[in-house]
Amino acid sequence: MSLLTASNLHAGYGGVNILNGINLAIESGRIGVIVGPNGAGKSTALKSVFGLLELAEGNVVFKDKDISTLSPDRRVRLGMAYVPQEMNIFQTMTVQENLEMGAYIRRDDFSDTLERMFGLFPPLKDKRMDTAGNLSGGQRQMVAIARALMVEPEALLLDEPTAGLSPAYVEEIFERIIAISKSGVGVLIVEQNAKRALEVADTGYVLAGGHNLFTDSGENLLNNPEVAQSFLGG
Amino acid sequence: MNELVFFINKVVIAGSVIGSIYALGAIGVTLIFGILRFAHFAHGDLMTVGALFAFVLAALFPTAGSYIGLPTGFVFLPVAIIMTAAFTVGIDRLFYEPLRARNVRPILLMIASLGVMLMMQGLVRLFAGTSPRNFFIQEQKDIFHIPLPFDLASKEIIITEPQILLLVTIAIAMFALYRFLTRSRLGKAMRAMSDNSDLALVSGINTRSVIVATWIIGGGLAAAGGVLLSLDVVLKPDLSFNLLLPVFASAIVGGIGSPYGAVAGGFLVGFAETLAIFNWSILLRPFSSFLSNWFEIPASLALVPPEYKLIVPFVILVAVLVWRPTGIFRGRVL
Repeated sequence: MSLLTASNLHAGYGGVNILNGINLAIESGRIGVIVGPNGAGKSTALKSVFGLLELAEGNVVFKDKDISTLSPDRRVRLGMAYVPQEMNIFQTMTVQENLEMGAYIRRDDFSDTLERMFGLFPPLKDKRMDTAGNLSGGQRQMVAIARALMVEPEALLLDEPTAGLSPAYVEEIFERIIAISKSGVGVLIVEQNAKRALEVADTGYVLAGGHNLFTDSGENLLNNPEVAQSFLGG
Repeated sequence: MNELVFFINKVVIAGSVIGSIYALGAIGVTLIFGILRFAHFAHGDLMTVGALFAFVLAALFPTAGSYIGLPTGFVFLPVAIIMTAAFTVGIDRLFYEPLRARNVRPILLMIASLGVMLMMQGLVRLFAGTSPRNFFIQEQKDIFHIPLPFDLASKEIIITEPQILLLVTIAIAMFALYRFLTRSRLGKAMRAMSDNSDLALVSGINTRSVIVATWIIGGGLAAAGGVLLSLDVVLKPDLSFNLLLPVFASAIVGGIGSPYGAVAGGFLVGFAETLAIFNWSILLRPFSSFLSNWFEIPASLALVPPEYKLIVPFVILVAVLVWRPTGIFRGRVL
Protein backbone atom coordinates (compact mmCIF):
# COMPACT_ATOMS: atom_id res chain seq x y z
CA MET A 1 0.00 0.00 0.00
CA SER A 2 1.40 3.37 -0.97
CA LEU A 3 1.98 6.14 1.57
CA LEU A 4 -0.21 8.44 -0.46
CA THR A 5 -2.49 7.59 -3.36
CA ALA A 6 -4.42 10.07 -5.45
CA SER A 7 -6.94 8.40 -7.74
CA ASN A 8 -8.99 9.74 -10.61
CA LEU A 9 -8.47 13.41 -9.67
CA HIS A 10 -10.86 15.83 -11.36
CA ALA A 11 -10.35 19.46 -10.35
CA GLY A 12 -10.01 22.95 -11.74
CA TYR A 13 -10.78 26.60 -11.29
CA GLY A 14 -14.20 28.20 -11.56
CA GLY A 15 -15.96 25.08 -12.78
CA VAL A 16 -13.49 24.44 -15.63
CA ASN A 17 -11.68 21.18 -15.02
CA ILE A 18 -7.96 21.16 -15.61
CA LEU A 19 -7.49 17.66 -14.25
CA ASN A 20 -9.51 14.98 -16.02
CA GLY A 21 -8.71 11.87 -14.02
CA ILE A 22 -5.14 11.93 -12.76
CA ASN A 23 -3.57 9.10 -10.75
CA LEU A 24 -0.51 9.66 -8.57
CA ALA A 25 1.17 7.80 -5.72
CA ILE A 26 3.98 8.43 -3.26
CA GLU A 27 6.04 5.73 -1.54
CA SER A 28 8.02 6.33 1.64
CA GLY A 29 11.66 7.03 0.86
CA ARG A 30 11.01 7.35 -2.86
CA ILE A 31 10.87 10.24 -5.29
CA GLY A 32 7.95 10.72 -7.64
CA VAL A 33 8.28 13.30 -10.40
CA ILE A 34 5.50 14.95 -12.38
CA VAL A 35 6.55 16.28 -15.79
CA GLY A 36 4.68 17.45 -18.84
CA PRO A 37 4.16 20.42 -21.13
CA ASN A 38 2.84 23.78 -19.92
CA GLY A 39 -0.83 23.62 -19.08
CA ALA A 40 -0.76 19.88 -18.52
CA GLY A 41 -2.07 20.39 -14.98
CA LYS A 42 1.12 19.52 -13.08
CA SER A 43 0.89 22.21 -10.41
CA THR A 44 -2.88 21.84 -10.26
CA ALA A 45 -2.45 18.13 -9.57
CA LEU A 46 -0.03 18.87 -6.72
CA LYS A 47 -2.37 21.49 -5.23
CA SER A 48 -5.27 19.05 -5.40
CA VAL A 49 -3.26 16.43 -3.57
CA PHE A 50 -2.58 18.97 -0.78
CA GLY A 51 -6.19 20.14 -0.62
CA LEU A 52 -5.68 23.65 -1.96
CA LEU A 53 -8.26 22.84 -4.62
CA GLU A 54 -11.58 21.17 -4.11
CA LEU A 55 -11.92 17.88 -5.93
CA ALA A 56 -14.80 17.55 -8.35
CA GLU A 57 -14.21 13.81 -8.46
CA GLY A 58 -11.67 11.28 -7.20
CA ASN A 59 -10.02 10.86 -3.84
CA VAL A 60 -6.75 11.20 -1.95
CA VAL A 61 -5.75 8.49 0.53
CA PHE A 62 -2.90 9.14 2.96
CA LYS A 63 -1.73 6.46 5.38
CA ASP A 64 -4.88 4.42 4.63
CA LYS A 65 -7.13 7.37 5.50
CA ASP A 66 -9.33 9.17 2.99
CA ILE A 67 -8.31 12.82 3.31
CA SER A 68 -10.11 14.09 0.19
CA THR A 69 -12.11 16.71 2.05
CA LEU A 70 -9.58 17.79 4.68
CA SER A 71 -8.24 21.37 4.68
CA PRO A 72 -4.52 21.89 3.98
CA ASP A 73 -3.68 22.65 7.61
CA ARG A 74 -5.32 19.37 8.69
CA ARG A 75 -3.19 17.54 6.14
CA VAL A 76 -0.08 19.21 7.58
CA ARG A 77 -1.06 17.84 10.98
CA LEU A 78 -1.36 14.34 9.49
CA GLY A 79 2.19 14.51 8.10
CA MET A 80 2.10 16.19 4.71
CA ALA A 81 4.04 19.30 3.74
CA TYR A 82 3.88 21.46 0.64
CA VAL A 83 6.25 24.00 -0.89
CA PRO A 84 4.55 26.40 -3.31
CA GLN A 85 6.38 27.46 -6.43
CA GLU A 86 6.30 31.18 -5.72
CA MET A 87 6.00 33.27 -2.57
CA ASN A 88 7.18 30.26 -0.60
CA ILE A 89 9.02 32.07 2.20
CA PHE A 90 8.11 34.74 4.75
CA GLN A 91 10.23 37.47 3.20
CA THR A 92 10.22 39.92 6.10
CA MET A 93 11.10 37.33 8.72
CA THR A 94 14.48 35.86 9.57
CA VAL A 95 15.57 32.44 8.33
CA GLN A 96 15.11 31.01 11.81
CA GLU A 97 11.66 32.57 12.17
CA ASN A 98 10.69 31.04 8.83
CA LEU A 99 11.63 27.61 10.14
CA GLU A 100 9.81 28.27 13.43
CA MET A 101 6.67 29.11 11.44
CA GLY A 102 7.08 25.82 9.60
CA ALA A 103 7.02 24.13 12.99
CA TYR A 104 4.02 26.19 14.16
CA ILE A 105 1.80 23.18 14.73
CA ARG A 106 4.45 21.44 16.83
CA ARG A 107 4.06 21.89 20.55
CA ASP A 108 7.14 19.81 21.39
CA ASP A 109 10.75 20.98 21.40
CA PHE A 110 11.82 21.19 17.76
CA SER A 111 15.37 22.48 18.29
CA ASP A 112 16.81 19.15 17.06
CA THR A 113 14.83 19.45 13.81
CA LEU A 114 16.09 23.03 13.47
CA GLU A 115 19.70 21.88 13.82
CA ARG A 116 19.07 19.03 11.37
CA MET A 117 17.83 21.59 8.81
CA PHE A 118 20.99 23.65 9.23
CA GLY A 119 22.92 20.42 8.71
CA LEU A 120 20.94 19.61 5.57
CA PHE A 121 21.28 23.16 4.22
CA PRO A 122 24.64 24.40 5.58
CA PRO A 123 24.46 27.83 3.83
CA LEU A 124 21.47 28.69 6.01
CA LYS A 125 23.30 28.21 9.28
CA ASP A 126 25.29 31.44 9.04
CA LYS A 127 22.24 33.28 7.73
CA ARG A 128 19.79 32.16 10.40
CA MET A 129 19.34 35.68 11.76
CA ASP A 130 19.20 37.29 8.29
CA THR A 131 15.96 38.42 6.73
CA ALA A 132 14.90 35.66 4.36
CA GLY A 133 13.86 38.08 1.61
CA ASN A 134 17.46 39.27 1.28
CA LEU A 135 18.87 35.82 0.48
CA SER A 136 19.84 34.59 -2.99
CA GLY A 137 17.31 32.61 -5.01
CA GLY A 138 18.89 29.26 -4.19
CA GLN A 139 19.08 30.00 -0.50
CA ARG A 140 15.48 31.17 -0.46
CA GLN A 141 14.49 27.84 -2.00
CA MET A 142 16.43 26.10 0.76
CA VAL A 143 14.52 28.13 3.35
CA ALA A 144 11.26 27.17 1.64
CA ILE A 145 12.05 23.45 1.68
CA ALA A 146 13.44 23.55 5.23
CA ARG A 147 10.28 25.38 6.38
CA ALA A 148 8.16 22.55 5.03
CA LEU A 149 10.40 19.89 6.59
CA MET A 150 10.09 21.40 10.07
CA VAL A 151 6.95 19.34 10.74
CA GLU A 152 8.97 16.15 10.04
CA PRO A 153 6.52 15.22 7.27
CA GLU A 154 6.16 11.76 5.83
CA ALA A 155 5.19 13.16 2.44
CA LEU A 156 6.74 16.27 0.90
CA LEU A 157 5.20 18.00 -2.12
CA LEU A 158 7.46 20.37 -4.08
CA ASP A 159 6.18 22.65 -6.83
CA GLU A 160 9.04 23.43 -9.24
CA PRO A 161 11.75 23.71 -6.60
CA THR A 162 14.48 24.58 -9.12
CA ALA A 163 12.58 27.14 -11.22
CA GLY A 164 14.72 30.17 -11.95
CA LEU A 165 17.82 28.86 -10.15
CA SER A 166 21.39 28.85 -11.47
CA PRO A 167 22.66 25.40 -12.63
CA ALA A 168 24.87 25.03 -9.55
CA TYR A 169 21.89 25.59 -7.26
CA VAL A 170 19.67 23.30 -9.36
CA GLU A 171 22.16 20.49 -8.76
CA GLU A 172 22.42 21.31 -5.06
CA ILE A 173 18.64 21.32 -4.60
CA PHE A 174 18.34 17.96 -6.38
CA GLU A 175 21.02 16.50 -4.13
CA ARG A 176 19.16 17.74 -1.06
CA ILE A 177 15.92 16.24 -2.34
CA ILE A 178 17.65 12.88 -2.75
CA ALA A 179 19.00 13.19 0.80
CA ILE A 180 15.52 14.00 2.10
CA SER A 181 14.00 10.95 0.40
CA LYS A 182 16.81 8.73 1.71
CA SER A 183 15.80 9.78 5.24
CA GLY A 184 12.47 8.03 4.60
CA VAL A 185 10.30 10.87 3.32
CA GLY A 186 8.11 10.27 0.29
CA VAL A 187 8.70 13.14 -2.15
CA LEU A 188 6.52 14.27 -5.03
CA ILE A 189 8.00 16.95 -7.30
CA VAL A 190 6.58 18.97 -10.16
CA GLU A 191 9.49 19.87 -12.45
CA GLN A 192 10.10 21.87 -15.58
CA ASN A 193 13.64 20.55 -15.57
CA ALA A 194 12.27 17.24 -16.82
CA LYS A 195 15.46 15.44 -17.79
CA ARG A 196 17.32 16.01 -14.53
CA ALA A 197 14.18 15.29 -12.54
CA LEU A 198 13.53 11.96 -14.26
CA GLU A 199 17.13 10.94 -13.55
CA VAL A 200 16.43 11.13 -9.81
CA ALA A 201 12.85 9.81 -10.06
CA ASP A 202 11.85 6.40 -8.78
CA THR A 203 8.52 6.94 -10.51
CA GLY A 204 7.78 9.48 -13.21
CA TYR A 205 4.36 10.75 -14.19
CA VAL A 206 4.04 12.35 -17.61
CA LEU A 207 0.89 14.45 -17.74
CA ALA A 208 -0.75 16.06 -20.75
CA GLY A 209 -4.14 17.72 -21.03
CA GLY A 210 -5.09 16.74 -17.52
CA HIS A 211 -4.50 13.03 -18.13
CA ASN A 212 -1.73 10.59 -17.25
CA LEU A 213 0.13 10.01 -20.52
CA PHE A 214 2.83 7.72 -19.14
CA THR A 215 3.63 6.36 -15.72
CA ASP A 216 6.86 4.43 -15.37
CA SER A 217 10.23 4.41 -13.65
CA GLY A 218 12.31 7.51 -14.32
CA GLU A 219 14.85 5.50 -16.21
CA ASN A 220 12.30 3.88 -18.53
CA LEU A 221 10.71 7.24 -19.27
CA LEU A 222 14.08 8.73 -20.14
CA ASN A 223 14.63 5.87 -22.58
CA ASN A 224 11.12 6.06 -24.01
CA PRO A 225 11.47 7.62 -27.46
CA GLU A 226 7.97 9.08 -27.35
CA VAL A 227 8.65 10.87 -24.06
CA ALA A 228 12.06 11.95 -25.26
CA GLN A 229 10.63 13.41 -28.41
CA SER A 230 7.75 15.28 -26.80
CA PHE A 231 9.28 16.62 -23.59
CA LEU A 232 12.99 16.17 -23.43
CA GLY A 233 13.93 17.90 -26.62
CA GLY A 234 14.78 14.78 -28.64
CA MET B 1 12.91 81.44 29.74
CA ASN B 2 9.20 81.62 30.48
CA GLU B 3 8.74 81.29 26.75
CA LEU B 4 10.55 77.95 26.79
CA VAL B 5 8.29 76.73 29.57
CA PHE B 6 5.33 77.86 27.56
CA PHE B 7 6.67 75.94 24.57
CA ILE B 8 7.18 72.81 26.69
CA ASN B 9 3.65 73.03 28.07
CA LYS B 10 1.93 73.83 24.82
CA VAL B 11 3.94 71.75 22.38
CA VAL B 12 6.14 69.13 24.01
CA ILE B 13 3.62 67.88 26.55
CA ALA B 14 0.48 68.53 24.51
CA GLY B 15 2.06 66.98 21.40
CA SER B 16 3.23 63.88 23.28
CA VAL B 17 -0.21 63.45 24.81
CA ILE B 18 -2.21 63.71 21.61
CA GLY B 19 0.49 61.82 19.69
CA SER B 20 0.21 58.91 22.16
CA ILE B 21 -3.54 58.82 21.69
CA TYR B 22 -3.20 58.76 17.91
CA ALA B 23 -0.51 56.08 18.16
CA LEU B 24 -2.73 53.85 20.33
CA GLY B 25 -5.48 54.06 17.71
CA ALA B 26 -3.16 53.81 14.72
CA ILE B 27 -1.51 50.59 15.93
CA GLY B 28 -4.88 48.85 15.84
CA VAL B 29 -5.75 50.26 12.41
CA THR B 30 -2.40 49.17 11.03
CA LEU B 31 -2.53 45.66 12.60
CA ILE B 32 -6.02 45.05 11.26
CA PHE B 33 -4.93 46.23 7.83
CA GLY B 34 -1.80 44.09 8.01
CA ILE B 35 -3.75 40.92 8.81
CA LEU B 36 -7.18 41.40 7.26
CA ARG B 37 -6.26 43.87 4.50
CA PHE B 38 -9.03 46.35 5.05
CA ALA B 39 -9.32 49.82 6.55
CA HIS B 40 -11.32 49.46 9.76
CA PHE B 41 -13.36 52.64 9.94
CA ALA B 42 -15.15 51.69 13.14
CA HIS B 43 -11.87 51.91 15.02
CA GLY B 44 -12.46 55.36 16.48
CA ASP B 45 -15.69 54.10 17.99
CA LEU B 46 -13.83 51.32 19.80
CA MET B 47 -12.03 54.16 21.57
CA THR B 48 -15.36 55.74 22.61
CA VAL B 49 -16.76 52.38 23.69
CA GLY B 50 -13.66 51.68 25.78
CA ALA B 51 -13.93 55.05 27.48
CA LEU B 52 -17.61 54.46 28.10
CA PHE B 53 -16.96 51.07 29.73
CA ALA B 54 -14.43 52.72 32.06
CA PHE B 55 -16.85 55.56 32.78
CA VAL B 56 -19.70 53.23 33.69
CA LEU B 57 -17.42 51.22 35.99
CA ALA B 58 -16.09 54.40 37.58
CA ALA B 59 -19.63 55.63 38.13
CA LEU B 60 -20.63 52.32 39.74
CA PHE B 61 -17.60 52.21 42.04
CA PRO B 62 -16.61 55.85 42.46
CA THR B 63 -14.29 55.25 45.40
CA ALA B 64 -12.20 52.51 43.83
CA GLY B 65 -9.40 54.91 42.93
CA SER B 66 -8.95 56.39 46.37
CA TYR B 67 -7.76 53.04 47.76
CA ILE B 68 -4.79 52.99 45.41
CA GLY B 69 -4.29 56.69 45.01
CA LEU B 70 -4.92 56.74 41.27
CA PRO B 71 -7.83 58.21 39.31
CA THR B 72 -10.81 55.85 39.47
CA GLY B 73 -11.14 55.81 35.68
CA PHE B 74 -7.53 54.67 35.36
CA VAL B 75 -7.99 51.93 37.94
CA PHE B 76 -10.66 50.44 35.69
CA LEU B 77 -8.50 50.75 32.57
CA PRO B 78 -7.49 47.05 32.54
CA VAL B 79 -11.13 45.99 32.91
CA ALA B 80 -12.22 48.42 30.18
CA ILE B 81 -9.47 47.06 27.91
CA ILE B 82 -10.63 43.48 28.46
CA MET B 83 -14.29 44.41 27.95
CA THR B 84 -13.53 46.33 24.77
CA ALA B 85 -11.34 43.52 23.44
CA ALA B 86 -14.20 41.08 24.02
CA PHE B 87 -16.64 43.55 22.45
CA THR B 88 -14.35 43.87 19.41
CA VAL B 89 -14.11 40.11 18.97
CA GLY B 90 -17.91 40.03 19.17
CA ILE B 91 -18.18 42.69 16.45
CA ASP B 92 -15.90 40.57 14.27
CA ARG B 93 -17.97 37.43 14.88
CA LEU B 94 -21.21 39.25 14.08
CA PHE B 95 -20.23 41.35 11.08
CA TYR B 96 -16.82 40.69 9.56
CA GLU B 97 -16.39 36.95 9.98
CA PRO B 98 -19.53 36.02 8.00
CA LEU B 99 -18.24 38.24 5.19
CA ARG B 100 -14.78 36.67 5.29
CA ALA B 101 -16.38 33.22 5.18
CA ARG B 102 -17.86 34.25 1.82
CA ASN B 103 -14.43 35.35 0.61
CA VAL B 104 -15.58 38.88 -0.13
CA ARG B 105 -13.13 41.49 -1.36
CA PRO B 106 -11.52 43.76 1.27
CA ILE B 107 -13.44 46.77 -0.04
CA LEU B 108 -16.69 45.16 1.13
CA LEU B 109 -15.26 44.67 4.61
CA MET B 110 -14.30 48.34 4.63
CA ILE B 111 -17.84 49.36 3.67
CA ALA B 112 -19.17 47.02 6.37
CA SER B 113 -16.92 48.74 8.89
CA LEU B 114 -18.46 52.08 7.89
CA GLY B 115 -21.84 50.58 8.73
CA VAL B 116 -20.54 49.27 12.05
CA MET B 117 -19.13 52.75 12.75
CA LEU B 118 -22.50 54.44 12.20
CA MET B 119 -24.26 51.78 14.25
CA MET B 120 -21.85 52.14 17.15
CA GLN B 121 -22.12 55.91 17.10
CA GLY B 122 -25.88 55.54 17.37
CA LEU B 123 -25.62 52.99 20.17
CA VAL B 124 -23.23 55.17 22.16
CA ARG B 125 -25.62 58.12 21.92
CA LEU B 126 -28.58 55.88 22.75
CA PHE B 127 -27.02 54.63 25.98
CA ALA B 128 -24.86 57.55 27.01
CA GLY B 129 -26.59 60.56 25.52
CA THR B 130 -24.82 63.35 23.71
CA SER B 131 -23.47 65.45 26.55
CA PRO B 132 -19.81 65.44 27.53
CA ARG B 133 -18.96 63.55 30.71
CA ASN B 134 -16.18 64.22 33.14
CA PHE B 135 -14.37 61.44 34.96
CA PHE B 136 -13.36 63.87 37.68
CA ILE B 137 -16.54 64.85 39.50
CA GLN B 138 -15.90 63.62 43.00
CA GLU B 139 -12.16 63.30 42.62
CA GLN B 140 -9.54 65.95 42.26
CA LYS B 141 -7.37 65.81 39.14
CA ASP B 142 -3.79 65.97 40.36
CA ILE B 143 -1.82 68.63 38.55
CA PHE B 144 1.94 68.73 38.95
CA HIS B 145 3.82 72.01 38.77
CA ILE B 146 7.47 71.45 38.02
CA PRO B 147 9.63 74.57 38.31
CA LEU B 148 12.74 74.81 36.18
CA PRO B 149 15.94 74.63 38.26
CA PHE B 150 18.17 77.66 39.03
CA ASP B 151 15.30 80.16 38.90
CA LEU B 152 15.52 80.20 35.11
CA ALA B 153 11.84 80.87 34.74
CA SER B 154 9.07 82.07 36.95
CA LYS B 155 6.53 79.90 35.18
CA GLU B 156 6.32 76.18 35.83
CA ILE B 157 5.96 73.14 33.66
CA ILE B 158 2.46 71.82 34.15
CA ILE B 159 1.53 68.19 33.65
CA THR B 160 -1.53 66.39 34.96
CA GLU B 161 -1.71 62.97 36.50
CA PRO B 162 -3.71 61.49 33.58
CA GLN B 163 -1.07 62.78 31.18
CA ILE B 164 1.72 61.08 33.10
CA LEU B 165 -0.31 57.88 33.28
CA LEU B 166 -0.89 58.10 29.52
CA LEU B 167 2.80 58.45 28.72
CA VAL B 168 3.67 55.57 31.06
CA THR B 169 0.91 53.41 29.57
CA ILE B 170 1.99 53.97 25.97
CA ALA B 171 5.62 53.22 26.83
CA ILE B 172 4.60 49.92 28.44
CA ALA B 173 2.22 49.08 25.59
CA MET B 174 4.91 49.72 22.95
CA PHE B 175 7.43 47.54 24.73
CA ALA B 176 4.91 44.76 25.29
CA LEU B 177 3.79 44.83 21.65
CA TYR B 178 7.38 44.71 20.41
CA ARG B 179 8.17 41.72 22.63
CA PHE B 180 4.93 40.02 21.60
CA LEU B 181 5.61 40.38 17.86
CA THR B 182 9.26 39.35 17.99
CA ARG B 183 9.33 36.72 20.74
CA SER B 184 5.98 34.97 21.11
CA ARG B 185 4.72 32.15 18.93
CA LEU B 186 1.39 33.88 18.28
CA GLY B 187 3.07 37.23 17.60
CA LYS B 188 5.38 35.68 15.04
CA ALA B 189 2.39 33.92 13.48
CA MET B 190 0.74 37.35 13.16
CA ARG B 191 3.77 38.66 11.31
CA ALA B 192 3.84 35.54 9.16
CA MET B 193 0.19 35.91 8.21
CA SER B 194 0.69 39.57 7.41
CA ASP B 195 3.75 38.69 5.30
CA ASN B 196 2.22 35.81 3.33
CA SER B 197 -1.21 34.58 4.34
CA ASP B 198 -1.25 31.69 1.83
CA LEU B 199 2.02 30.31 3.13
CA ALA B 200 0.81 30.79 6.71
CA LEU B 201 -2.17 28.59 5.88
CA VAL B 202 0.04 25.99 4.18
CA SER B 203 2.29 25.97 7.27
CA GLY B 204 -0.67 24.98 9.41
CA ILE B 205 -0.88 28.34 11.20
CA ASN B 206 -4.32 28.74 12.73
CA THR B 207 -5.37 31.90 10.93
CA ARG B 208 -8.52 32.14 13.02
CA SER B 209 -6.64 32.54 16.28
CA VAL B 210 -4.32 35.07 14.64
CA ILE B 211 -7.34 37.12 13.60
CA VAL B 212 -8.83 36.97 17.10
CA ALA B 213 -5.49 38.08 18.57
CA THR B 214 -5.43 40.98 16.13
CA TRP B 215 -8.85 42.19 17.23
CA ILE B 216 -7.97 41.77 20.90
CA ILE B 217 -4.81 43.86 20.58
CA GLY B 218 -6.41 46.45 18.32
CA GLY B 219 -9.52 46.79 20.47
CA GLY B 220 -7.56 46.78 23.71
CA LEU B 221 -5.18 49.53 22.62
CA ALA B 222 -8.07 51.57 21.23
CA ALA B 223 -9.83 51.30 24.60
CA ALA B 224 -6.65 52.41 26.37
CA GLY B 225 -6.43 55.44 24.09
CA GLY B 226 -10.09 56.32 24.61
CA VAL B 227 -9.98 56.00 28.39
CA LEU B 228 -6.74 57.96 28.75
CA LEU B 229 -7.92 60.75 26.44
CA SER B 230 -11.20 61.01 28.32
CA LEU B 231 -9.32 61.20 31.62
CA ASP B 232 -7.16 63.97 30.22
CA VAL B 233 -10.04 65.98 28.76
CA VAL B 234 -13.65 64.77 28.92
CA LEU B 235 -15.59 61.86 27.46
CA LYS B 236 -17.55 63.09 24.49
CA PRO B 237 -19.67 60.88 22.25
CA ASP B 238 -18.12 62.49 19.17
CA LEU B 239 -14.63 61.58 20.44
CA SER B 240 -14.42 58.81 17.89
CA PHE B 241 -15.22 60.97 14.91
CA ASN B 242 -12.63 63.59 15.80
CA LEU B 243 -10.02 60.88 16.31
CA LEU B 244 -10.74 58.77 13.26
CA LEU B 245 -9.12 61.00 10.65
CA PRO B 246 -5.87 61.77 12.50
CA VAL B 247 -5.62 58.11 13.53
CA PHE B 248 -5.89 56.97 9.91
CA ALA B 249 -3.46 59.68 8.83
CA SER B 250 -1.01 58.41 11.48
CA ALA B 251 -1.28 54.81 10.30
CA ILE B 252 -0.84 55.73 6.64
CA VAL B 253 1.95 58.25 7.22
CA GLY B 254 3.85 55.68 9.29
CA GLY B 255 3.41 53.05 6.59
CA ILE B 256 0.18 51.10 6.92
CA GLY B 257 0.85 47.57 8.14
CA SER B 258 3.82 48.60 10.27
CA PRO B 259 3.06 48.96 14.01
CA TYR B 260 6.28 50.89 14.67
CA GLY B 261 5.38 53.16 11.78
CA ALA B 262 1.98 53.73 13.37
CA VAL B 263 3.64 54.96 16.57
CA ALA B 264 5.98 57.24 14.64
CA GLY B 265 3.06 58.47 12.53
CA GLY B 266 0.96 59.10 15.65
CA PHE B 267 3.61 61.31 17.21
CA LEU B 268 4.35 63.04 13.90
CA VAL B 269 0.71 63.96 13.40
CA GLY B 270 0.28 64.88 17.08
CA PHE B 271 3.29 67.21 17.13
CA ALA B 272 2.42 68.68 13.74
CA GLU B 273 -1.04 69.55 15.04
CA THR B 274 0.22 71.22 18.18
CA LEU B 275 2.99 73.05 16.31
CA ALA B 276 0.50 74.26 13.74
CA ILE B 277 -1.82 75.81 16.30
CA PHE B 278 1.02 77.04 18.53
CA ASN B 279 1.23 80.80 18.91
CA TRP B 280 4.77 81.48 17.68
CA SER B 281 4.67 85.13 18.55
CA ILE B 282 5.26 84.16 22.18
CA LEU B 283 8.64 82.70 21.28
CA LEU B 284 9.47 85.86 19.32
CA ARG B 285 8.65 88.22 22.16
CA PRO B 286 12.10 88.07 23.84
CA PHE B 287 13.56 89.31 20.58
CA SER B 288 11.04 92.09 20.16
CA SER B 289 13.64 94.79 20.82
CA PHE B 290 15.66 93.63 17.80
CA LEU B 291 12.73 92.91 15.62
CA SER B 292 10.58 95.91 16.35
CA ASN B 293 12.62 98.02 13.94
CA TRP B 294 11.42 96.10 10.94
CA PHE B 295 8.24 94.45 11.99
CA GLU B 296 5.75 94.32 14.76
CA ILE B 297 5.04 90.97 16.35
CA PRO B 298 1.36 90.20 16.02
CA ALA B 299 -0.56 89.07 19.08
CA SER B 300 -1.23 85.70 17.50
CA LEU B 301 1.09 84.01 15.06
CA ALA B 302 -0.16 80.47 14.50
CA LEU B 303 -0.05 78.56 11.24
CA VAL B 304 -3.70 77.62 11.50
CA PRO B 305 -6.42 78.64 13.94
CA PRO B 306 -7.24 75.86 16.44
CA GLU B 307 -10.65 75.17 14.92
CA TYR B 308 -8.94 74.15 11.68
CA LYS B 309 -6.38 71.82 13.19
CA LEU B 310 -8.10 68.82 11.62
CA ILE B 311 -6.61 69.80 8.26
CA VAL B 312 -3.06 69.37 9.57
CA PRO B 313 -3.04 65.55 9.40
CA PHE B 314 -4.18 65.78 5.79
CA VAL B 315 -1.41 68.16 4.83
CA ILE B 316 1.12 65.77 6.36
CA LEU B 317 -0.59 62.81 4.76
CA VAL B 318 -0.39 64.34 1.29
CA ALA B 319 3.19 65.51 1.81
CA VAL B 320 4.40 62.11 3.02
CA LEU B 321 2.55 60.20 0.34
CA VAL B 322 4.12 62.36 -2.35
CA TRP B 323 7.58 62.03 -0.86
CA ARG B 324 7.37 58.38 0.15
CA PRO B 325 4.20 56.60 -0.99
CA THR B 326 4.66 53.56 1.26
CA GLY B 327 4.94 55.68 4.41
CA ILE B 328 7.88 56.37 6.68
CA PHE B 329 8.41 52.73 7.66
CA ARG B 330 7.68 51.18 4.25
CA GLY B 331 4.55 49.49 5.51
CA ARG B 332 2.47 46.57 4.29
CA VAL B 333 3.88 43.90 6.58
CA LEU B 334 4.02 43.80 10.39
